[in-house]
Amino acid sequence: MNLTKLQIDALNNCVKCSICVNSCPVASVNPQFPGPKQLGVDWLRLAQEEQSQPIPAVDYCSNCKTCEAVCPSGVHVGTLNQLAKSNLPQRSLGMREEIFSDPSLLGRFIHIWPQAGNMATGLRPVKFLTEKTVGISSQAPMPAYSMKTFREMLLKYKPEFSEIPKEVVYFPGCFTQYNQPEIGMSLVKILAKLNYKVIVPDFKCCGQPAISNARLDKTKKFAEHNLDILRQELKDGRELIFSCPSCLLTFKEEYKNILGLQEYSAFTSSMQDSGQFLLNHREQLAALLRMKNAESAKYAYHEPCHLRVAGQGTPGLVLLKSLMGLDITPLEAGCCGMAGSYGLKAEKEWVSREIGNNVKDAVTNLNPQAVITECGMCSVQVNALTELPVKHPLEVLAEQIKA
Amino acid sequence: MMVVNKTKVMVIGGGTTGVGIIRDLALRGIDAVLVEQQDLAHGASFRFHGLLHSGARYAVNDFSAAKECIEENIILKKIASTCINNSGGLFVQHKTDRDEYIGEWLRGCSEAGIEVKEVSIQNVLNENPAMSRDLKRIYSVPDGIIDGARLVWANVYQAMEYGARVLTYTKLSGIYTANGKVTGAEVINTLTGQKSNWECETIINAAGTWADEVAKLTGIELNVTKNKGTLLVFNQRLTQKVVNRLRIPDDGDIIVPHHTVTILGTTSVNTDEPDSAKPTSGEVQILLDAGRELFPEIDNYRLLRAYAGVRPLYAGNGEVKDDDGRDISRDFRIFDHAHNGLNGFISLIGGKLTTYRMIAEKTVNYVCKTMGIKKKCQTAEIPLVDSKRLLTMDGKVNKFAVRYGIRGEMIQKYLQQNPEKEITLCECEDISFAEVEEVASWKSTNNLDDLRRKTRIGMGTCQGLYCSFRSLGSAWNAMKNKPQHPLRQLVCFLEKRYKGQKSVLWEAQIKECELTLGIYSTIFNLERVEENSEV
Repeated sequence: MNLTKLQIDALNNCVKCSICVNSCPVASVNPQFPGPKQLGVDWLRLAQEEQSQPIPAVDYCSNCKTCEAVCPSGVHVGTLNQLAKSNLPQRSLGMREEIFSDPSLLGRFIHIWPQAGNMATGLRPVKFLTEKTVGISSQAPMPAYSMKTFREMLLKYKPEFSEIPKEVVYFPGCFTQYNQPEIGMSLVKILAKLNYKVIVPDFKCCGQPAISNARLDKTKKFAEHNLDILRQELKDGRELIFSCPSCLLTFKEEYKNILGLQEYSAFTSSMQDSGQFLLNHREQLAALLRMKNAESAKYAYHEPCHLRVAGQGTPGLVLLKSLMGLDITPLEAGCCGMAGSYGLKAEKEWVSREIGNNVKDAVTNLNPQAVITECGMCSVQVNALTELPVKHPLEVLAEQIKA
Repeated sequence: MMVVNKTKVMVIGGGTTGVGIIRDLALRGIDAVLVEQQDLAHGASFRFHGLLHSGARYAVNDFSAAKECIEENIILKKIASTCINNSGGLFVQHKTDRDEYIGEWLRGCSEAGIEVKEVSIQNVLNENPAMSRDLKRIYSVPDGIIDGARLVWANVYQAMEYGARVLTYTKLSGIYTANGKVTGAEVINTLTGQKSNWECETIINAAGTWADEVAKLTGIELNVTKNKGTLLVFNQRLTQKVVNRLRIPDDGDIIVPHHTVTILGTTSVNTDEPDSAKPTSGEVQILLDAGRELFPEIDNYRLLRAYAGVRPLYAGNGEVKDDDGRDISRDFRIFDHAHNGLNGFISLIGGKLTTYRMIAEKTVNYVCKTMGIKKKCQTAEIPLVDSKRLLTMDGKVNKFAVRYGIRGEMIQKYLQQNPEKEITLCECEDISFAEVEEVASWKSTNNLDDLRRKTRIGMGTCQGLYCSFRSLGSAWNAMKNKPQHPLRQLVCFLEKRYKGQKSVLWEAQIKECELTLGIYSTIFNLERVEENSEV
C-alpha cells in the first residue's frame, strides 16, 4: 500500500492503450511474455488487492525500456517491470546474477590476465561448462576484454593545453573501462583539442546491470557512492558526460525512479551524452576536422534503446552526418535484443537473437561498411549478428581530428 | 393454451432479499421459483458500497439494526466466506468531529456486542500513508467487504442445486386470485416476449425498489420510500481496510476497498424514478469534499465512474397498522396482505444487505407458519460453498470457487479440457479466457452485461475497452445463440459502461473514453450497428 508517486501516477495515467505491448521487442518474439503492461501496471494494481507475487514471466523483461519511450501517457512501464522483477523470489544460488550485476567484478578479475580470460570465454568446453553450471549461454557472443583498462591508458595520457583548460567530469562506465577503453580515450583526446581537461573520479558501476539482474540493493550501494562523488565534483558549473547511454539513463532516471533517490534530480540538468556535449561545441569542432575523405564509405547507425529513452535524441548520428558529412543511415530497426547481460543468459539467448534479427535484416539490406552505435553491449550483439565492425561515434570522430 | 407450471412459492425480485428467500426455501425443501425482471442483482444489491456492516455505523442511531448487523456479520463470514473479504474496518475521528459522539458510540457498540478496539494512529498511517494527518482517534471494528453479485449468484447456484428454479429477465405481469387467495401468476420473458403461467400458493414480493409496482398488480398500495445513494469508484485501492467516519452518519463517510478499486459513498436523496437514477455532478463534488477530509490527496487518484443505487426504505406509515406485519427491525417490515383481503401475498420493504439472510429467515418462517409447513431454517449453518469444493487437494482456497461459488468446478473442468485458455482475457481484473467462455455458455448468461456481473469484465481501469470485444470474440459461439444479437449486446454494454463515466470525465478517464470511442466507432464502426438489419 506504500506506493511511490511514480507508481500512483502509473495507475492513474495508464489508459490501457497497449502501445507498449505492441512495441515490446520481447513480446513480439516470445509468446510466453504477456508484455510490459500486464506485468507492470496491471500487476501492480491487482497486487494491491491480493498481495500476490509478481508474474514469473516478468523475468523475461529485458529492461530495454522501449515501452517507456512509446508510452503516450508518460507511464514508467519498464521501471514498474523492473520493480516487479525485484520482488520475484530469487534463484537459489543466483551466481550468474551475482556476476552480471557488477561487471567491474569480472572486469577486474579478467584484467589480471586478459589474454587468458578472452581465450577462456571463447573455448568450447568452458562455454559448455558455464552454460551447464551457471546458465550463461554457450551460443551468446562474449564481449572481449582489453589488455589495458581505460584508467591505465588515461594515466599515461598527458595532453598539452595551450591555455588553462576548462574541466568536465566523465563517467566512462564498465564497458569503456574494461572492454573498449578506446571509446573513452577518443573522447579525452577530442576534448583536449577543445581545451577541456577530463576528470574521471573513482565512480562505481552505474548499477544498470544490477537493476536488470534484480539486485536493487547493489544499485543502491553504487548510486549512493556515485552521489557522494557528484556532490564533490559537480560544482562551479562542471558538467558530467557519458559515452554509454545506459549509464546516462541510470544516472538521469533510474536512481530517481527505481531507487527513489530524489537528490539526483538536482544534478540531472548537468548530465548529458558526450555527443551532445560535443555538439554544443560544433563550430570549434568543425575547425578541428580533417578534409572529408574522398572515398565514400557507407555506414549504418543503430540507435541504442536507452539513448532513446534518455531523451537525448541522437547527437552521435548528428555529429557524424551533419558535422563530418559521413554517408550514414539510421537502421530504425528497434532493439538489438542484447540488453546488457540479458542476451548472455542461457534461457534468454534465443529471445535476444530473435529480436536481433530485425537489426540483422536491416543491416543486410543497407550493406554498410561498418555499423555505428553508442552502446557497448549493442555493439557486441550487432557485431555477432552481422560480422561487421561496430564503432562508437566518438571513435569515428577521433580518427578525423587533425593531429 | 399456455403451459401451466406449478410451484408452491413464487419469489419476486432477484436482489439479495429475494435470493436469500429462495435459498432458504430450497434448503427447507419447499418447492419455489424466483422471478426477476432483469439480471440478478441489477438493483441496489449490486449498486451499493460493498460494505459488510459490523453494525458500528448504527450503534447510536439504530440500535436494533446494529445488533442485527453484528449477528449477521458473524454468520455471513462463516457461510459466505467466498463473497467476503474479512478486511476489518476502521472508524476514524477527524479533528472536526465531535468528541461527545464517541462515548455514545462506544456504549452502543458494546451493548450490541460489536468488538471495538482503539488502535494507534501512527500504525494506521504507516499502513495507509494516503490518510489524513488530522485524525484524532481511530478504532477498529469487524467490518468486512462483500461482493453483492457474487453473493447473489452463490445463493442462487446453491438454491438451484436444492431444486429451486430461477427465471431472470422475467417480469411478473399478472397475479391470479380466487376467493381472496393467490392461485398463480402470469410472467413474461422480457427478452423474447414469451408469456407463461404459474400455479402457486404464495407470492413473496421482494422486489425492493419496485415492490410497490408489484403490489399494484393486485390493486394494493404499498408505500416504499425510494432513496438514491451515489457512490464514486476510484481506479485503485486507497486503503486495505474499510474506513468509516466516526460521526453521526452523513454523506461520503464510507470508503471501501472493493477488489481492485475503492468505493466512496454515499449520498442520500429521495427520488421518484428508480429506473433512471443517475449520479449528478453535484453529488460527485459532495462526495469528493467529504472524502478529501480523510484522504487529502483524493483528487490525485483517478476516478473510474460514479453510480447511483436506490434504497427501498420503509417509512413508518400511518395507514399501515401495527398488526399488518411483524416488526422485525426498525428498518424492515413484512406485510401480510391478508389484511388487505388477499391471502398468500406477502410484501417486504426495507432491509439492508448485511442482514439479508436474517430477513429471509424471518420471512420464510412467517410464510411457513401461514402455509402450515414445519421445517427448520438451515441458512445459518450450511455454507454457500462446501469446504470440499472450496479447497483444492492441497488445502488451498480454490480461486474459481471464490469467484463462481459451487460452479467454480465447471470452470476448472473447462480449463482441464482447454488448458490453453488459461491466458488472461481481461488484464485489469485478471480474468482468463476459460472463465469468460465457460460463464458465457451458461443459460443464465443472456448478454455481455450478465457476463460482467458474474466475472467482473469491464469493471476495471479500461471499462470495457478491450474485454468487451475480446469476450464477444472468444465466446462468440455461445453469445450468438442468446436472445439479443451479440452486436446489440455490445452496444448496450458499452453504453452502460459510458453512462457511469459521464459524471467523472476528466484527466485520464476522458482519454480512456476517447480511446474506447475511437476503437469502437472508427475501427468497428459500431455507430452504424443499428443500420444493420440483422441486429
